[in-house]
Amino acid sequence: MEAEDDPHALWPEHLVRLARTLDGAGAREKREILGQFWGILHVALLRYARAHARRMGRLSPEDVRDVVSEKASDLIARLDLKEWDPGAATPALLRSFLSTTARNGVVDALRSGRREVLVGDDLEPRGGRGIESATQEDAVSVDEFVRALVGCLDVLSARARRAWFLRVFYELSSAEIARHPDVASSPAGVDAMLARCRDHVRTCMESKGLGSHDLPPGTFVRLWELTERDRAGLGVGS
Amino acid sequence: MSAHVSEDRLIDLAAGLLSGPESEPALAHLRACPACEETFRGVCRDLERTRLRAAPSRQRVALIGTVAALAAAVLAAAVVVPLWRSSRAVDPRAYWIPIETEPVDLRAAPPAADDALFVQATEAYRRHDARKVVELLAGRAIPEAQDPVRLLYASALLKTGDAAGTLQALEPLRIPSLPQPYRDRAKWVQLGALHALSRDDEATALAAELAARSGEFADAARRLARTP
Repeated sequence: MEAEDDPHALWPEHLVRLARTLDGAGAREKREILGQFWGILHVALLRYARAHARRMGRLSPEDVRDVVSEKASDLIARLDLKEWDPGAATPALLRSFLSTTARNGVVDALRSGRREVLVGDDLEPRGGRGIESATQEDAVSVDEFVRALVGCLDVLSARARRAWFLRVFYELSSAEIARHPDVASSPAGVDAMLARCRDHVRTCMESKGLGSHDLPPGTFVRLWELTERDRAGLGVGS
Repeated sequence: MSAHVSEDRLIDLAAGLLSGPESEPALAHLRACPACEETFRGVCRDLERTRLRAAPSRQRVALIGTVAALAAAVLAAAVVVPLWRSSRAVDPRAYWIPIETEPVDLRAAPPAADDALFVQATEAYRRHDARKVVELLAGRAIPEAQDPVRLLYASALLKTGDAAGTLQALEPLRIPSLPQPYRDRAKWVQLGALHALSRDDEATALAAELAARSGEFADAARRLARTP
């Protein structure tokens, strides 16, 4: 279902456009373009590699990531050296090329005897896990929960909120969060910041008669929208 | 419930390519569909992690306020980037990390004198002169921007017989956080040091880990794991 290409997807065209702007860009601008290109290229390759891995064999999520990491690094290096010119391709051709690249990586990995393990969560297609869709009642309670949580998070600084979000939803380590440009701190500083956040959120949610241990489905996307606003407030582009 | 949001659309959304009105239908679906929300969370997480790897030195620029201007100016220097090549060596102490010189932007702005030192150390390593590498780098602070050189230093220490120093030099690298192929290379050097220090249980566990994975050292680690 989701492995099929969405004809309305914007990212392939965006990558083509980014590649075209590389020519004539200054060193600083070039770095920014390559940074943007790299991020989208990576998630696009992951999307294809997972789809191929689901069909062809059983690679661990870690091995799929390694395959993609190698392929993405290689492509970025070739783009930087002008050995690969996605700017000359159509979005459809680019997609096809990336899918083939991911497929080749997966095939090579399977041939070279990469470890076969149980398929991880992130290799499973959606809809096959028996997760029930949220009912209207659920939606109401999630809305209440999120409103309460947002109220509690609101008193934190945008930076602290971002650090909390990166830990709770993306499970980034303190070192990674410290390195994040929205946070820019030391790992110890992040640990202290997160400890304060956790204490505050727990106390605040308890004062509203709610726990903060299990975040109900729907919480992530609602908070993601808010943090995107925070990011815009911090002046961080995507 | 409406049809699931395509993964392509989730990438668009996570990358900020959709305008407000364009994103609303997708967001409305995500709010009501835990499976799609979970996939979206994965896409966002992958994107964040990738961005962190793409711009690791931004944070350092922010931290080093006094050198911010210098950092923004970007120093071009020749440092070493070890490239992926397969190795048939079974003894980690005999392994030389492959080296290729590439111009790399140094945004963390280490002092110029140290840049030259790191280049010299790299050249010494390229000549397989481990003693010279150790002589040049012993007691020197090696900034995070020069992590590839730190790995060479650790390897050189192992070759000169300082296994304890090797482990010490590797520690700031936070090996599990390194991207491939650096992660496995660092583990291979670490394995050699553990073996030299007769920390056999740890060495065996590390060999088993490398043997179970694909990659540069899989075969060698498997052979090593079979060696009594």
